[in-house]
Amino acid sequence: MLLKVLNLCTYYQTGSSYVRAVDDISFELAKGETLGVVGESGCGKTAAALSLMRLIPSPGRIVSGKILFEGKDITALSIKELLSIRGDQIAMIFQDPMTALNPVLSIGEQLVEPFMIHRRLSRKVAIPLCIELLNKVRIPDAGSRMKSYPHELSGGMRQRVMIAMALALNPKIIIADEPTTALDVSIQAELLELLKNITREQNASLMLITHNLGIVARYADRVMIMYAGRIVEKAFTLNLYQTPLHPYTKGLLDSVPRLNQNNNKKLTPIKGQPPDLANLPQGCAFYERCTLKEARCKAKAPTLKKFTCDHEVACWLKEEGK
Amino acid sequence: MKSYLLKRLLYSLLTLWLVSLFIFAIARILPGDPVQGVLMASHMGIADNNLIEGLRAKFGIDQPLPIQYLVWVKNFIIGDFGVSIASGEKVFEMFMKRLPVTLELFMGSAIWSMLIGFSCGIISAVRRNSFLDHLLTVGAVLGLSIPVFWEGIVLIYLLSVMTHILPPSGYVPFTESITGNLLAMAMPTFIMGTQGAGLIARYVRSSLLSVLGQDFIRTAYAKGLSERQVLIRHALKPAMIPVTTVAGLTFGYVTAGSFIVEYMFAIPGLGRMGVNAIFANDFPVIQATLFIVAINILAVNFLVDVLYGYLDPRVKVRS
Ligand SMILES: Nc1ncnc2c1ncn2[C@@H]1O[C@H](COP(=O)(O)OP(=O)(O)O)[C@@H](O)[C@H]1O
Ligand SMILES: [Mg+2]
Repeated sequence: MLLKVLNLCTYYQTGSSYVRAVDDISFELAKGETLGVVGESGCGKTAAALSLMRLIPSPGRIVSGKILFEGKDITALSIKELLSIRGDQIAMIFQDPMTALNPVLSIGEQLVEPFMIHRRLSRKVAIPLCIELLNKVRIPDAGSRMKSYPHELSGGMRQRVMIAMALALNPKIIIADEPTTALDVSIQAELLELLKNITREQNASLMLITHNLGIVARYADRVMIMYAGRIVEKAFTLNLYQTPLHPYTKGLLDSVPRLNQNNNKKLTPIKGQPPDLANLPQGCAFYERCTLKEARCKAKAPTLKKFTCDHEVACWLKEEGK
Repeated sequence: MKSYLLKRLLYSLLTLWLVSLFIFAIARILPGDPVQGVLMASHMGIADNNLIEGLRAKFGIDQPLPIQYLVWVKNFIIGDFGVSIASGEKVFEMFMKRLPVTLELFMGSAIWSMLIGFSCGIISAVRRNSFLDHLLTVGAVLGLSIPVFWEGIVLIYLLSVMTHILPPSGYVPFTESITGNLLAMAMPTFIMGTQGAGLIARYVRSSLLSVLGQDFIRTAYAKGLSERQVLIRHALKPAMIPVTTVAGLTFGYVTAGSFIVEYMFAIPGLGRMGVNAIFANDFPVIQATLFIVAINILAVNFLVDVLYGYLDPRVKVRS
């Protein structure tokens, strides 16, 4: 297994309390597969992604758990080993292309860095490689774009640059944290298509984070649903869509338009707000918003259990379904 | 970029014109009559009206004020700064003699302020909230708030009177002895430099901290850059943008200090000449000194604007 995450916990310390941004999650990522990570804003998707590269900013911290990348535990690596993995073996594409590029450095200067740092290439050798990359992500007039500054490019173009930068060294894992959320709807599909095609070409694994189940349906092989810092359901994409098990997953599916359903079906958003991660209630975190809640849900939080061999869910109601 | 610079240049010239009016007015408002002063010195105060009128005509102060102003501006433009009332020397030549000394003082103090200011500011930001950061903060505030003359007295006492490491005052021309020159200038440049250093350190710290919290810094780390590489390649340049403006403003502040420092250390520069001219009510010299100082400050700020445009590619579009 390329990547194996075991019982990862990442907390932000605020004053005397902890925000349990990632609370005991475990998952795997196989070579070449695309894993969709879905959940409402604030459920810990970004925190989980940043943890994988040990990029959690203070006051956050990986509290416990293991992140095994090709058998090596990333949480235990020395800084030197860590730097050799970041950007080379595992690369990341961030949510907001407007702020993720350095405003005072030209596109070219930012693109050559991975080559110079990890491959020790000279600027001169790296520049043609960068132009090739820009062509690959279909940026027109790549040669002269190298000299442009981020503010001279549209959001979509900047995100293409980010994609090019992440893919520069053929990383084994690409983490894309809501790569199209900040962009115009009209270019979202095109960019995702591009990302998917290139990762497939390079046989890289993709961790595609989104809050849009529609995107996941199209691009992901497997999906995990996160709620309040935990994974509540994990399945092959098709299974998840055909037989969603967790009430939260069902709620999410009812709140987005689906291609294979009749269009007249009314979209119903999930009522209520996710709980405060600094102050989680006892029992199931979804209790307050759940339409099927029972007394036992309040007493103890359910853990992730296998329902069928490729389908896991954390819900008391599905316990006996085995 | 061109139109941006042109605009800054026009602003500078407009400011300069206002400053010239102001300086002209100040030199006339100062109490005491310069001609009386000269007569006191050369004729023991005994003079007839003819002599007084003759002198007034010679210095052009018998003309109406607007004419005096126009003549002054015209002469200034062609490089004729007039003649010192006190010594009869050409002001332009007095200037040229002292300019290199003051330039050296300024360069030296600029080097001290940048060296101390930048290194302390960067260390404070990178090791924020550490003991070292707090220590440097105290140091910066002290550097900012201790008056120049007090710092001067303390340092002279410590380094000259007690330990004889540096000469207490005096100036040695560079051409005479290089080490002598450097030793003589060490203390005055340091004292002027620490004033600016405190300010620069504070601004570098806060500017760098805000840059280090930006998204693109996280991108740089995600690419595999070390803390040092992130600092040098990604953080310093954007952090310098607001600091350049401050450095420009500091220059005006340091100029004021230079008058005191030159006087204190008996350095024969422009500041000392200006102070002497004020005591002697020698208005051609006063006017010229103030005006040159104003030109210098404006020139430095113009250079800062140029640097700003160079550091921040977004400026080119904004203008
Ligand atoms: N720097 C921080 N300090 C404190 N809490 C944070 C910080 N960053 C994120 N959080 C908290 O961590 C939780 C998870 O955030 P995040 O991972 O960004 O969610 P998502 O990406 O799913 O929207 C949120 O409750 C958020 O408030
Ligand atoms: Mg996020």
